[in-house]
Amino acid sequence: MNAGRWVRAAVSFTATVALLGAAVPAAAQTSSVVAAPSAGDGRLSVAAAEGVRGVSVTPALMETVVNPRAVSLHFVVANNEPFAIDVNVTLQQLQQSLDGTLDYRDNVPGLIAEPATLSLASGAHAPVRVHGALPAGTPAMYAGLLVEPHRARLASHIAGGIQVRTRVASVLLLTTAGRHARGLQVQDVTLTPTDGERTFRVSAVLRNVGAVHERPQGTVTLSEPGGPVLGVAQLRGGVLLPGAARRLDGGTWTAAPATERVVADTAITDPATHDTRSIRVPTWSDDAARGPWALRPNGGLPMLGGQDYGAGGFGGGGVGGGVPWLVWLALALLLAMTAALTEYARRTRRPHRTSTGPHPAC
Amino acid sequence: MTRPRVAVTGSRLALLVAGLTAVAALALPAAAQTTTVTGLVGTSVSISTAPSTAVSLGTMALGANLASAGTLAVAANAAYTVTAVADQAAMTKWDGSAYQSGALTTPLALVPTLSTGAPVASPIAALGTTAQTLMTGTGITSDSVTLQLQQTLLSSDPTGTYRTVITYTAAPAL
Repeated sequence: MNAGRWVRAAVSFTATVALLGAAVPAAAQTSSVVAAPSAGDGRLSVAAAEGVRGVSVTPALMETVVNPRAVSLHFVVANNEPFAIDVNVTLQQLQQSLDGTLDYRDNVPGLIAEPATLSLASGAHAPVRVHGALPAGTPAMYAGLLVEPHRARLASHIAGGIQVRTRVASVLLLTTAGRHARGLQVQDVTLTPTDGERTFRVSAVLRNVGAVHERPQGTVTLSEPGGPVLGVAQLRGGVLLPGAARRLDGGTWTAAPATERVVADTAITDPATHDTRSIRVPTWSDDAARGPWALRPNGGLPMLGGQDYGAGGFGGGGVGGGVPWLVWLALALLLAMTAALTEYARRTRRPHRTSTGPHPAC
Repeated sequence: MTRPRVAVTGSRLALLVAGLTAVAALALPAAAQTTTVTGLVGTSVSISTAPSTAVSLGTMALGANLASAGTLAVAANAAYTVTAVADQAAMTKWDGSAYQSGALTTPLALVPTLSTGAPVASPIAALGTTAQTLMTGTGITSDSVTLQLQQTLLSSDPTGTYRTVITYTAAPAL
């Protein structure tokens, strides 16, 4: 091989390397470190953040869809005190009152929290696991994971004794996959006098008649009977647990001096269909100038059950109900196309006979 | 015999330049390496300062009896609530190891007095066995309230030693 060929070979080789080097992106080594709050092996000690004390459980809110036959949730309990501490860990069902306050009562069927006790050094973290299986047919489970430090107990001989316990809770909003009955019901709309002259606080009580928790959204439009709109209140509230009723705040509204009666159109977003349904609730007041004005549907409270779309409630979305009209249209089109194709295939399979003479075999 | 000279044509020159460029590129320091770090911040609520573990009303007199219940401080990175609940509807007779029949007529009241940060604290006129909201906050500031317990004693209340247990619970707001 002469020198020229050697030169050509070398040049070709380096050119190939150049092309390859341009085509292949520079290899960048990456490593990702994900620090999930649920991770923790009990041996990791993190210096307490400045100013942060006490015992905490993370995450403080667990809202997720679970496999009802194999629930497994992970939390981390941290001791941010400058001393070691023992804590108790329990799991209790959530209850909700009219003002949204959560209460913790009763054991949670099918689920347990482990370990039940923890000994944490100052600055230490430890994992806690909630696991088990929900009772068959349970659409959702709402519970609190309660972490309570052991504290000194009151000496029993002290007269007039009040013992104090403190705990932190992580709230569990667990639902199972699938369609569940969903419904909200307006129970009343109230205008409560405030300190201001003819200024009222607007609120509405909604009840969750479905099987899973909701975050109600809606408005209250106040109008003169047969007259103009006087004001629109935006209802604000958080989570509403199934079976619970909660008063949602709509802010304040000031009535004009001449206003004696109002009607309230309460528009709530249907959780099943996301449509907005409006329920008109007329009102009266024994003393128009004093109030509070309690607006209730004529004929008494609206029907319970979540399927009444008339007198103040609505709902739906259960199994077999609430199928969007688009689905029916699509099914109809599909059937029509199938029929047309079948007919076409039939016609093209057998050629059309035009001869009317005797059969050749006759 | 003379060696044949190598004729470098235009195309060969281009290839030579490309090759030398590739060699130079390979000789340069490697591209900067990057490390991606990700983290997840979960909601967290803690009682950073707990109220007094035990409160003694002493020998109560007729009328209102007040006692300091300490300070309750909350550290959170999300909206939170603190509730209070008692294990009895009212302070109940206590024999040293168990409750006995007989309770004071008036339920215990819990009154937040001073506060720091931006909590919304509400007095609880009648502490009972249903949880009631004591304070709420946004979690933006570290909040604390100073608490006072008030027990009204009536002449019809029988003598004896009375006891109750108050539980404060901090949780994220729903």
